[in-house]
Amino acid sequence: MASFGELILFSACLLIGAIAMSLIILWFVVPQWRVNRHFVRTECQVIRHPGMKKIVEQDTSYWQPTITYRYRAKGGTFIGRTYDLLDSRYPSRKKAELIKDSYQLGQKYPCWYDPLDPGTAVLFSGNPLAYWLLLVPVAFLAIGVGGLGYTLWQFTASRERRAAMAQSSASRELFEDDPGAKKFPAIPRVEDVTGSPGTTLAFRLPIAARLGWQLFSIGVGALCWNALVVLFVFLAIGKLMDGQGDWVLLISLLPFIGAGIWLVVHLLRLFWKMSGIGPTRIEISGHPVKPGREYNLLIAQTGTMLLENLEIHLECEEEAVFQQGTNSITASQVVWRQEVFNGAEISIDAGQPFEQRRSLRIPDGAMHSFLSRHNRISWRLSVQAKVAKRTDYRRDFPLIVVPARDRSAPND
Amino acid sequence: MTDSSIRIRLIGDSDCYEPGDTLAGEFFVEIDEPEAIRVVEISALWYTEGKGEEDLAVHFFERVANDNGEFVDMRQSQPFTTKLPASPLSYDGVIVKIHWCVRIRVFLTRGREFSGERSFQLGRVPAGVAVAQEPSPDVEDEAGDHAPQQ
Repeated sequence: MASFGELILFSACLLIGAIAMSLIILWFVVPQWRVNRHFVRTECQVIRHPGMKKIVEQDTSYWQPTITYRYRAKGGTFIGRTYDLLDSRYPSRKKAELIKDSYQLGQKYPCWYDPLDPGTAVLFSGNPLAYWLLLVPVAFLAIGVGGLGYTLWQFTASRERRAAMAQSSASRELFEDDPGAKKFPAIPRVEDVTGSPGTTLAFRLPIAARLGWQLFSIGVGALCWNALVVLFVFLAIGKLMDGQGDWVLLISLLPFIGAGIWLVVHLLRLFWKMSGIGPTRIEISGHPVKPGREYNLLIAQTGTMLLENLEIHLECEEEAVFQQGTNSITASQVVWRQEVFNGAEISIDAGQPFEQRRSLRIPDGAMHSFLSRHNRISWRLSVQAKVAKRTDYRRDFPLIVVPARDRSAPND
Repeated sequence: MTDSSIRIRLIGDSDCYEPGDTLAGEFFVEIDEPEAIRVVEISALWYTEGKGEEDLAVHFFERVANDNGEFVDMRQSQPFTTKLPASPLSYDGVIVKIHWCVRIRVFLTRGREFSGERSFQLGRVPAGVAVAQEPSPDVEDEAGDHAPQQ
């Protein structure tokens, strides 16, 4: 829902854009347009050596060429000192010098004078800056008008109409690539979990996350920490070698060195605990799955370890995201748990992975997978293992459950 | 104008439908000044209820405007019909609930509006029951937090 804050923000953009546009048009665009359209071209003669003027504004130096020229207009003779109508000054001295050097004392050059006020003349008529300046207020106006229009539309249009229009525009892009999204609205994309074929059964289920990331993040953390510590240690040793030993620095580095060593030890310990635990593979005979139907499962665990216990459960979990103050909190609740496999004292060798065939049946009438912006119902096969002398682990394999009866489809 | 209301009637033996069924019904607006009705919006939609923020999606939407020169007397029965989708099914979960309804929203002149709705059920999914979480001490959880995303 649109907020009053958005309304104020876009109104402010619109106001700033309108004021800036008016001022730029009044101060820059109209005079420049008059130079291009109404000023009369004539010839002038430079009557003093062209020079440079330094202008300091708010601690910034600008350079401006000073060129004095004489020209005749409407039967009179006038002295001009303006290079262009914007009275341009340049932060680069070189740029100003280039302009100055292009004019020589006594030489004749074209100039343009105002027929309504012949005392006003310029040497340069083609400054496009005035028109480019318009881009700034145009951007503000576009944001203001677009945002204000959208905000006002949100205030006036019903929630159903807004939802219908948003879905309509989203579906035009989505349904072209994904017919499944149209067949099963509000159900996660099946393609995300059926992209990988199995070696024995039809599909290999993807794993929800990888344990390797934990190892990787600790490894990166340990590397960065120790690199910094080593840098300071070298600095301290360098001073010591030069005879300027900073003992305070050296002593204060000790706890940081200790923390670095602890990180490396923790990393190695974790690496050792994880080494030997191979990947878990689950293959299924059909996907997506439907309530009431039976599917074959192949469970494979590789590695070199002794599993004190291995449990595999079929679980359904509800998840809801809600705001608490400025925090976004996710609440979850398991609403179905069914044992698929339970084994103890399983020895796994490198050349002999543990494999089990099981059948899986989603209960009759069970709720299908569901996904909306703040709510989700997800099914998964959850693998939990207790490993002798190593870290225990849990791995989740998401399943997509679709409604069993679908009369909206011609061939189900 | 006093006591304006909307009457919605669904055609069928019950308020429970299966995916792919045709949802048909009619509505009429009880109002003293039918000319005051500017626009009527008819929606068949689902919305979530529960612990999370409410999500809503419209399956069927029709907007009948009275300001395009063709006056529709909303006091007379106005039919609507739509084929219901395969999902999401109605669900009464523990922290996530999904409800289906037909909602009629009437916009009057001078910015006033009122609405009425009629709930119905899509599918026959049993209610969810909380399962106690099993304690799993010292388990390295490889499944990261994944907040719902569409």
